[in-house]
Amino acid sequence: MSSKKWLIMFVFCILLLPVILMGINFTVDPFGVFGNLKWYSFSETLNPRVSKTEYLIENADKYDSYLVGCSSTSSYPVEDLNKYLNANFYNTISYGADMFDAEQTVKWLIDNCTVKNIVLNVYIHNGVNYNDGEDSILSMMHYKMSDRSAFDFYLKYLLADPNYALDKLEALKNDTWATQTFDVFNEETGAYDKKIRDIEHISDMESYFTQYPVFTNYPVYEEKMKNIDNCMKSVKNIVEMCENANIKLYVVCSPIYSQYIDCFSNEDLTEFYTALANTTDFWDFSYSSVSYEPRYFYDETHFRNDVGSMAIARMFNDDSVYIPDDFGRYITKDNVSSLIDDIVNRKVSFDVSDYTKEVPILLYHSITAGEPDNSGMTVSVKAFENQIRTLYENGYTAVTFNQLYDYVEKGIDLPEKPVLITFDDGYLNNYELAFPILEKYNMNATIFIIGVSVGKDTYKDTGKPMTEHFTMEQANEMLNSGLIDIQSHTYDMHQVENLDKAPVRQGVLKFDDESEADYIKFFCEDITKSIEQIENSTGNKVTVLSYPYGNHSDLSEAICNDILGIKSTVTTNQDYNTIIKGLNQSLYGLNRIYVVEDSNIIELLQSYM
Amino acid sequence: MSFTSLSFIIFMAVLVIVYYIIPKKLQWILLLIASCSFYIYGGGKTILYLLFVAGTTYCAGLILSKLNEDKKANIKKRKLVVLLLCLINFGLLYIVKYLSFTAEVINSIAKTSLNVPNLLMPVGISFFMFQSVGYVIDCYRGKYKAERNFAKYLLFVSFFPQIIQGPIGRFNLLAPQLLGEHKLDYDNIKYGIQLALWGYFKKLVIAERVASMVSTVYNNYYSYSGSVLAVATIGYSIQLYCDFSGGIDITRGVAQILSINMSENFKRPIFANTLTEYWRRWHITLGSWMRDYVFYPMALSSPMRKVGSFARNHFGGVMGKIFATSVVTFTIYFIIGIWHGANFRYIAYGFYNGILITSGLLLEPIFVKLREKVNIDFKGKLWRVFQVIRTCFIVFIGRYITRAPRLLAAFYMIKTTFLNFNYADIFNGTLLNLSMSFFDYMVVIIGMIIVIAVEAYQEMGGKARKALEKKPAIIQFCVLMFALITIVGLGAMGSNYVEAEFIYAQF
Repeated sequence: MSSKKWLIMFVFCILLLPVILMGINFTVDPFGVFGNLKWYSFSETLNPRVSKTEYLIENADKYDSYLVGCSSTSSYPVEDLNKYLNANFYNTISYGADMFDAEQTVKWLIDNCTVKNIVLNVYIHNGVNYNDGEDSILSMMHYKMSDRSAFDFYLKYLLADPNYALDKLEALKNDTWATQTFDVFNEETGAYDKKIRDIEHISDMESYFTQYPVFTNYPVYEEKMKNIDNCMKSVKNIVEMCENANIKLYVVCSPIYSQYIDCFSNEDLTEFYTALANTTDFWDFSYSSVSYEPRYFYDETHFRNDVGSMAIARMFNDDSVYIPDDFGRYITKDNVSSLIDDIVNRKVSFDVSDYTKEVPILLYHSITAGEPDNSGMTVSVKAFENQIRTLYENGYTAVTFNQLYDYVEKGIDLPEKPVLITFDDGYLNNYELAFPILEKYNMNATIFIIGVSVGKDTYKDTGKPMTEHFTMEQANEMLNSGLIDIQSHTYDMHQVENLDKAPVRQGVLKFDDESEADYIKFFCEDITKSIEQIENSTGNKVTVLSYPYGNHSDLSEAICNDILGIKSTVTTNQDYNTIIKGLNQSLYGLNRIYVVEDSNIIELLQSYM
Repeated sequence: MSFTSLSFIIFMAVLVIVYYIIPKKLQWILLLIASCSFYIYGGGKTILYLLFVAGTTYCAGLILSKLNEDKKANIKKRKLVVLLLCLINFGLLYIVKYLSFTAEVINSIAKTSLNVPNLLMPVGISFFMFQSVGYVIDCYRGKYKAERNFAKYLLFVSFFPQIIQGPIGRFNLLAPQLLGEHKLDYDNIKYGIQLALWGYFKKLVIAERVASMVSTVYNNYYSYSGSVLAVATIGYSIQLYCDFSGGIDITRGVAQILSINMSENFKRPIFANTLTEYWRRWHITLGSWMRDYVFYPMALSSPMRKVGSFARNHFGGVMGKIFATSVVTFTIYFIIGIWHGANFRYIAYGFYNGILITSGLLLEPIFVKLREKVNIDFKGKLWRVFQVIRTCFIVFIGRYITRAPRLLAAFYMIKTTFLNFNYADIFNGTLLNLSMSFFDYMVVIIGMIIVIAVEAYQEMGGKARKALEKKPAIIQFCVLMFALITIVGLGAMGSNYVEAEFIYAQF
C-alpha cells in the first residue's frame, strides 16, 4: 500500500470512529434518549433531568400529580401524598435542581401531562444558585424543556463517552434487587430508591455520630443568596401557571439542619422568607426542633423520608401520626414575621427526652427446673423468677412491640422504666416454667418461635434429640393471656452444624455462591411460611423477626422492610436501644442484652446505660 | 496545550494543511508563529523567559562568532563570554527552579524564615535552556557560525513539538531542517502519524492507567506490604517509561509530519546490559549533552588532569588510572540528579547512579579476574538475559528514590520490600483496591507485552513500520483501527480520564 493510500485509509478510519461511537451510544443508549435497551433507573442516575422527561413522555398517563424540586424533595414519600390527596404522584426531583429547572419542569408538565396537584419544594439553597447553565450530558435538561436544539441534544448523546455505554452493559449484568450506585432511582415513583439506605439501625446519638461524622464537625461556610429575585420570579411564574391551569399547588420549605442555617446571614434569611411569603403562601418546615436532631437527617442538606411523612401528615392535618408540635406551619404575608423572628433569633425549645426513650431488651432462651447447663443459654427457673421479681420491685414495666410502634408512629409515651423481655426458639419450658412466673408478676414478654421446630423434640433431618418446643395450642394459650406475644424466629433458617442437613446457612445470611435473586426467594418463602403458620393458627399479627444467631445483613433488613412488611427486627448485639418518635428505623436491628444464670439484672441493665 | 488534548489535534491538522499549501519560503515563518502561539497558549507570560534565554544566547553566539573571526582575539575573552552567558542563564534556571528549595534548606538549618516569591515555572525551561547553551558552546568552539537572523534562531529555541520535554536538539542538525523548504511527502506524514499513535498508545493507554495506582500506593506507602510497594514501583517504572518515551514519540512523530527529523531520545533502555548502557539509551539527548558540554570539558580541563596525574602517582594501578574519570562521572550523575528536580531525593538518586557506575569502573579488574575463574558463557544469550534483568533491577530500586514523597520514605519502602514482602497481597485482592480494576491491570499488562514485543523486534534490527507496510491492506486497516479504537476508547475517553501533564514537563 502506498503512503498516499495509507493516508486516505487513515482519514477514513478517523471518520469511522465517530460512526462506531454513535452506533454504540445509539444501541446501548445509556442516557435513555433513543428508546433502546430501556432501563430508567440507570439512565436517571446518570442524568435525572433528561431521563425522567423521557420516562414521563412514555408514562405520563400513570400519574396526575407531581413533586418538583431539588434532591431533598425526594424525602416526601409519594405514597403518603397519594393517600391524603387520592392522587398518583410522580417525583421529578433531580440533583441540584434550582427554581429555573423547577419552572421549566412545571411548564412542560402543564403543557404535556394531566396535572391535578403540584408540590413544589423551595429549599433555602434555591436562593443561592439559579440557572447555572449546565451543559454537561450529566446535568443538562431535555431539549423539550429548554431552548437547546434537538440536533445539538441528540448529537451530544451520540458522541458521549463510550464508557457510559460500557458501564450500562456491565451494570445490566450486575443489576440486582438491591439498590446499587448505578440505579439509585425508583422508576415508578421517581424518588430515590432508599430500600437499602432506610434500614440502618438508628439509636443513640453517640453511635449516630460515628456513622455520620459530618454532624460532629459541621463545616460552616458562607452561602450568599445572590439569586433570591430570580428564584422568586420563577416561583411566581409557577404560581401563575398553576392558577391558570387550575392546578392545586402546595409550596413547601423543607427542613434545614440547624448548623446549615448558620451558613446564611440574617439579612439573607429575612429577605428570602419575606420574598417567598410575598410571592405565595407556603408550608414551612425549614425551622423547628426537627432542625436540631441530626438523626432526622441523612446528611447536612437531606432530611429522612420519615420526616417527610411527618411533614405531609401536618399539611393534611392527620392527628393519628406523631408530629413534633412546632414542626410545620402555614405561612402567609401576615405571619411570616414570626417565622423570621424564630429563625433569625434561633428561637426553638425542645427536650430530647420528650421524643426519645432508652429501652433495654432482654434475651432469654431456655428455662430449666434443674441446674442450668454451661452453654449460657439456659437459666434456672429460680434465677429467672428472681430476675423478674427484681425488675418488678424496681419499678420496671415490661412493654410490648406494639407499644414501641405506638411510641414511634403515634407518639404515645412509654412507661417511665420500660423493659422488653424476649425468648428465642420457643422451648416448651418457656410455656411450662417461664409463663407462670410472668403471669405472677404481670410482665409482658415476646417469644420468637422457629416454625419447623414447633412441638418437636428432634431435628427434622437428622432425628437427633433437642430440647422440646411448645405447640401452637400452647402458644395460643399464652397469647390469650394477653401477656405473651408470639413472633417469628424464621421457619427453618435457624440451622445447626451437624444437626441439620448440610450445607448449613449462617442464620438468614446468603450463601457466598448463591445469587441474590435465589436468596431473596428462599428467604421470603421461609419467613412467609413462618408468618402464615403463626397468623393462621393464632390470628396474631407477625411484625417482628428475631434473627437466628443475630446474623443479619443490609439485604436481609431491606427484604424484611420492603417485601415482608416486618416492622421491627432484633439482633444479638448487646446494648440498649434508643427509640425515637417518628423514626421507624429506630425499630430496626434492635440490640438485646443476654441474661444468664447469675446475672444481677439491675447491675446488668445499668452496665449498658 | 497538551499533546493529548483535542485542541492540539485540531491545531496540528490545520498547521499541516497550511504548512504544505503556503510557499515553501514561508514555511519556517509559519512554524515560528505556530511555536510562539503554542507556548503562549500554554504558558502565557512565561514566554518572556524563553525570549530572554533566546536573546542572551543569540547575542552570545554573535559575539563569539565575531571573536572567532579575529584570530588574535584573546581566548580569555571568549571564555568570559561563555562564562557570563552560563552564569546568567543557569542563574535564571536556579532562581525559578531551585530558589525555594534553597530557602527551605536554609530555613531548616538556620531556623530562619526566608520567603521566596512563588514564581511561575516556565514550561520546559531546562530543555530549551540546555539546547541554547549547547548552541553557545558550539559557537565558542567554532563548530559553526552563529545565526544572524534572530527570528530564525528563535524558531530553533522555541520549536513547539520539543518545547515541553525535549529532545534537546543540536543547532547544526535541527536548524537546517527547520529553516529548509519541505515538499509534501506522504511517507513522512504516514510515518509521523504512526510514530505519534505509538506514543499516544504508550502514554494514554498504559502510563495514565497505571498512574492513579502508583499515587494511591505512594501517598500511603506506610499502609502497604512490600509486595504491593514493589508492584507500585514496577507500575511507576512502566508509567515513567511509557509517559516519557510516549511523549517523545509524539514529539518526533509530529515533527516528522512536518518533514523534520528529530534526534532519538530513547533506544529501548529496557534491553540495556549495564547501568551505563541504560543511561546511554534513556533520555539520550540529555546524556549526550552532558557528555559533550560537561564531561569532556571537565575531564580534559587542567585541574582534572592534575587530579589525574596526582592519582596515578599516588594510588597507582587501576584506581590511579580511572580516578579522574570516576570523579567526573560522579559529578555528571549528581548534576543529572539535580536536573530532575529540587529535592534531596533527586540528589540521592544522582548519588545512587554515580556510586554504582564509578564502583563498577573501580571494580572492573576484579570482575575480569572473577570471570576468568567461573565457567560461564559470557557471550551467550543466558548471560545477556541475566544482564538485562540485573540492570532492570538496579533501575527499579532507583525508581523508589525518585518517586517516594521523601528520601526517608524511599529507604523505608525499599526496606519493606525486602523485609516484609508478604507475597500473598498480590493475590488476595489488595491490588484491586488501588484505584485500578482487574481490567485495567490486564490492559497495562497486555499493553506492556505489545511494547516489549515491538521493542524486542526493533532490538533485533527489525523495522516495525516498514514491516507493517508490506502486509496486506486489510491487516494494515485492522491494525490501524485497533490502534485508534484502543487509544480513543481505552485512553483519551476513559471514564476516569483526567488530562495529566507530562511527567517531564516541569523538569
